[in-house]
Amino acid sequence: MADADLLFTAHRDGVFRYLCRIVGQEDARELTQEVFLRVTRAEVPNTDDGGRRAWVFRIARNLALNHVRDDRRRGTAVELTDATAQPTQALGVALREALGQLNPVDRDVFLMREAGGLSYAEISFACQLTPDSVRSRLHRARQQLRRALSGASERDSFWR
Amino acid sequence: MTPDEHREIVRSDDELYLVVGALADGEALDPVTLRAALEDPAIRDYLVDLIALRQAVRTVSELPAARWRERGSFRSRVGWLSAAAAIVISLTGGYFAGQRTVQAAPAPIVETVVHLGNAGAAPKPTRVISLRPGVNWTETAGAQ
Repeated sequence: MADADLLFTAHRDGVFRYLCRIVGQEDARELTQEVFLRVTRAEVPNTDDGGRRAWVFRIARNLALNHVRDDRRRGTAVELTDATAQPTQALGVALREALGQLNPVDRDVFLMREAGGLSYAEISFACQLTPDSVRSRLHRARQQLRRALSGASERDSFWR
Repeated sequence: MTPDEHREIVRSDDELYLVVGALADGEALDPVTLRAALEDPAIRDYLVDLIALRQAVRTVSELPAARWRERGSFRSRVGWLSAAAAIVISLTGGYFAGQRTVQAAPAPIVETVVHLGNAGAAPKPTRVISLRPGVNWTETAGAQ
């Protein structure tokens, strides 16, 4: 199996989850296809699995940033999440709102960690940040989300 | 408390939170700092919240991802079914087209007519030799 096929099999779900939180489910489908289209066209870096994953997520992040920028130019509302199932609907909405309040880079760092499962070093490569910056941004995002969702839990019972 | 002392406490607190975050993320950490962090009930709460937050993100994210995978497999199934249907249609269409071609241009019929009217009759003799007793009929000389 070719390198690009292996990367697709290994990372499509993580990339899709990450993109879902940034551009919404419908656009995430297309962007995920686009990410792996670019992966097949590019030369896969000769590095370990983590390095390749970080490279794939860097492509995903760049595409997501372009997509969000284009949407802003067009004045389209960016859907951050799709909470559809009843038990998770309230949680999805609260999470969407809380993620929307984050600094975009902090949100990327947080989603790469939580939705994509990347290590600090991989996030550092994908977002072009120092590892210390990744650590502190992740901490800041978590604190902010924790506060936001704890506030929401006073209305709903999904948090803790 | 002086501002410097306050900053020191804040920095120290951050380190304790960061080490707990590193624990949750499976990253390298300093065990001594971790021990100190886990002694603080507020930081233990933070650790629990990190896990809850992770579950929340993955629970909400897993739905569209699963649906996407289903859609992919559905497409794959539809693809296979389409291919199978195309083969069946081709074979059936080919069969009927062949049938129609045969009906439109039937093979030429060859009729063979055998007249049996004179078939059993021998041809008429051109010369008749009479056989008489005492005559050597095998003699060739003078046998005109």
